[in-house]
Amino acid sequence: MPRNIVLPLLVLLIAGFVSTQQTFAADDAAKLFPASTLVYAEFDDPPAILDGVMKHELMKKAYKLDVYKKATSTPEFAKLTFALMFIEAQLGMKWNEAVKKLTHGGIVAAFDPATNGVALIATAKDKESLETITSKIMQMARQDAKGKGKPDPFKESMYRDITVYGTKDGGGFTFLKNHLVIANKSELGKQILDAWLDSPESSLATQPWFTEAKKTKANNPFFWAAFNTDLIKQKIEERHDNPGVEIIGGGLLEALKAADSTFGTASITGKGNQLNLSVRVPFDRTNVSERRQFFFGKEGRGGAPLLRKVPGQLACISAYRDVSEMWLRAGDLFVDRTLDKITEADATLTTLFAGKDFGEDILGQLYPTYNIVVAKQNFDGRDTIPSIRLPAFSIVATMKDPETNYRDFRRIFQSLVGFLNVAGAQNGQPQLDLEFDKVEGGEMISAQFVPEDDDKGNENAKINFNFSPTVAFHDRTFILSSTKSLAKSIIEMQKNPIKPGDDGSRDHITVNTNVDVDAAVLKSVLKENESHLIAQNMLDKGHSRKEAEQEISTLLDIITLFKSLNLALETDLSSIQLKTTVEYAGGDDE
Amino acid sequence: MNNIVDLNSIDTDWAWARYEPKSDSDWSLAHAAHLYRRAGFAVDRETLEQAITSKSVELVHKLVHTEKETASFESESQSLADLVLATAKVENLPAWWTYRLLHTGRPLHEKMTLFWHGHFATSGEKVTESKLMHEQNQLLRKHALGDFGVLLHEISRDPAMLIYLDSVTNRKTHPNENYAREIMELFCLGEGNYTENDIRELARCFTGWEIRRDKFRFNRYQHDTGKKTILGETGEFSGDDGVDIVLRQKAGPEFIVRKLMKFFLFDEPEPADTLVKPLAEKLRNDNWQIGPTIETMLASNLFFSKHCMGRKIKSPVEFAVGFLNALEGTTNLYALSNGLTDLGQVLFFPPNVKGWDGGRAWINSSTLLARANLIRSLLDRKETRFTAGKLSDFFDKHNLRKPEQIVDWLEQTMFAISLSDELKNQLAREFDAGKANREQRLRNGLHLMCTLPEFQMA
Repeated sequence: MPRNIVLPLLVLLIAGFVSTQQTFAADDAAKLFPASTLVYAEFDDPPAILDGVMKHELMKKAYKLDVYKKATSTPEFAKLTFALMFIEAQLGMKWNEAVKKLTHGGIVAAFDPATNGVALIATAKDKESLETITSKIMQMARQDAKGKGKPDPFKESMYRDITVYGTKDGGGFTFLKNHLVIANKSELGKQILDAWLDSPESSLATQPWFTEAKKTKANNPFFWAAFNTDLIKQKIEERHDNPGVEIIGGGLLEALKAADSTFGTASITGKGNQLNLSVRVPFDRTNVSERRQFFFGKEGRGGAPLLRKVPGQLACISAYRDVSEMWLRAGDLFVDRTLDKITEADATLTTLFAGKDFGEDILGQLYPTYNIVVAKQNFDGRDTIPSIRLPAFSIVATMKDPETNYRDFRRIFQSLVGFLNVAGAQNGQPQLDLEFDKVEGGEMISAQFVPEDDDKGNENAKINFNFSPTVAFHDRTFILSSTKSLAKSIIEMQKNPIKPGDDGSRDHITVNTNVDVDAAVLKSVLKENESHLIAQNMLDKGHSRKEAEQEISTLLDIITLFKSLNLALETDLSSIQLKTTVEYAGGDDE
Repeated sequence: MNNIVDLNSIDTDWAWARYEPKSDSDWSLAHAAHLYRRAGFAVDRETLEQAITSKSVELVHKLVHTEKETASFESESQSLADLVLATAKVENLPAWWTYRLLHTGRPLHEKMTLFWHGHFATSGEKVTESKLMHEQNQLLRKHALGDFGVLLHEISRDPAMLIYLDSVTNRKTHPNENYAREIMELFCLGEGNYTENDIRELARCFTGWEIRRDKFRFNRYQHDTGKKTILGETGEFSGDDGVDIVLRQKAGPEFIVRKLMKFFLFDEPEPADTLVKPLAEKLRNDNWQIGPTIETMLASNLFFSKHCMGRKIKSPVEFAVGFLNALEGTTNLYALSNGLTDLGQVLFFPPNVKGWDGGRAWINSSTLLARANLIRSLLDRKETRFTAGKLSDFFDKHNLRKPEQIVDWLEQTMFAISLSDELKNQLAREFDAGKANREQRLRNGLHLMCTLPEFQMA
């Protein structure tokens, strides 16, 4: 049998799938971890998780994928299967049965920055199961090493009358009753053994942050973790250098920095075809600092608008962000070198926007609730088709003074197109042709790229031909779009607005940011650019065409397993929570 | 580098006569490796071992006369070019060309394309339209071993070239002298073979030659139709007439042959006139066909002599691509191309209109360190694979288990200069030194070998 896989299998068997039926209570485990522990994690009922995974609809779909079939028909897989059969024969049971027995009572893990160590405690069904399974696996690993002329992989020693097995990478493991304790640093391992023998007064279990965190555990997640935010808090600067980080995650930085508590929790739950990951940090939204009001609104009540839905939609982002306030408050948020760039950009944008102050007169004319809609483009019937086919995207906002704003934005857009034409002509870029369309309740002004004679019928045209920049006005709605067709779709859907709850969003007042991604459309967009993705892979990774095709095909196959992804940043009266929901493709979806 | 022999004293007939090996030691792995290093970018061991079963002249003939790449290679190259052109970033073009250098079936054509790229230097720094740079590169490749006259005519109308030389407009009232100067000084004749008046008169021929929307256009209303006197000839010459007059000059073939000799044979000393003249004569008699001259050069006694072997410093591209080719390596080509910046040679970005100086200019304390760092970064990258696997697997595939075997194998495959036994013993010890795993030790040892002064030579 291939001997070099015995050790990894040992690790897989021990750490792969996890469980706890609380025979070894989490609080007991926390008593063994040092007070300096930064991250603590526990898995509930690993045997159930393992069963759930193996029997899940998603696995059935995965078995049908080409990538799975190819992977399982390789000589390497045959070797692995043979090795597994050998191990199962030695153990006298199937590998998943062995895993279940080893992790019957659950697994807890911890990261301790003081020793830079990670420790894992698995609780087996009983002491006998633990000894039988591990001794056989150790025996196989030792025979494997011997066969290769290598030294014993497990260096046996005694620590305070407990037998400890050291590994060559500086880690080790031991057995405490029916618990298997593994640590990658001997120092951390010693501390755990000391705690087992001495029951010290101070441990992770006695830390206020941890006891507070434990109180918040609810809904029986199959994975739960708590982390100390002290270190993160210390590292968050008052002002930083990246406006992108601020606009996306400024609120989270605020929550971490301002919170009185010093813990955060994470949990994973699953139901049907959904997997939910939630990260929660205590947060008082009514007490948001003035400089971050742009993110949360006054008293943290700034809610994102409902998600939109248009045909061929790839993603929709919905958010509350007072970008005008952020722009004007830049001095409170960013370091000096970033401020210099913002000042420079402000001057350029003010010129570009016909002398109007960008922060006040442009951004300030829109309510702080935005949608960004991304949708696949339909290139059928077009004369000139770009080589790289990008999805279209639009920013949708609400105007404060539609009558005045319409005139201003319309004029500015026309000036901008004129400017782009002059600049483009100097650089040999195709020219833009303005079009005006009246729609029911509004107007669209778009600019189409005019192809050169030799670009007509070209299916490998410049990237420019992905765009037909458009501004559209519909009642109070302002749309800035990369294409005319997407702007038109948004206006059409506006006539049939989504009712609250239609899009599955939660209480919209407390949802600060909401993101929805459709996996099927994502796959379709990638598929349309498959040849470029393959070429990119060849240049990026030095792969042969065959390898690149395989990798891209795997990526596309994996995407078919999923239906959608939703991210939501929510606040309530006591916390801020980032929720991620992954929905798998159902059994009938192909 | 010290001169081994005064090249002026070499018998010219012997120098350009065909190399006829008399014994096995006259046609060894070292000779084949020398040929492939100079006529391409090095090759793997298997190709070297096959090479010595053929005659040197046959190999050279095959290198010169391989007319086409395979359809699958061209198709792959085109798909990569499509991607790079679609991104419209000229900075991505070097990765595309590096792919060609690593996978070409016509290494000499790629080598000559690189020669012409340095000769008709045009930089993406100024010509930011990647499509134009790509088209020029394809033009250089098309005529790489063909008719220099045709190439010169076409390059004279090439949009990338004319944009680079600020010659997108050329009006009869103010003839633009840039291109006229470069065609005489850098592209065809060399200094001292023309006068300032010749440049002014030739510039008048090119009036009306313009670039509009990235395409060549002849504006007949801006062309000076009057009489011009260039290099002793008088007439109402057009731009093409002007190019033909330059091509008729005796100094032309000598200028090109001298540059080709420095590119293919030795960095120093300057080739003696006695060596240059016979080949220049041949180039003239062949009506500027480059291939036969290159074939004579590469199949000659001089090429396989001690005057040439190990007498050139590898250019950064030869250094990096040769390293990968010899070890059947692949890697992230964007990163590799960017990594060449510190070594002083980025494809599509020559430093100025004169191209790269080459020779000793490749090496200084800074670029030497950069060479070592480049190899280190290649070896550290997870994308770098050797025959699609680890370095240890690669050596195992070649049955190289002991450090001494590995050092010998690498010397024969990758070095133009022999290493002393003492040095080889020391290197073998280094391959076994340290507590790292075998793969890491092999990579460390290989890195050490590639930092040796001997490895910098071609």
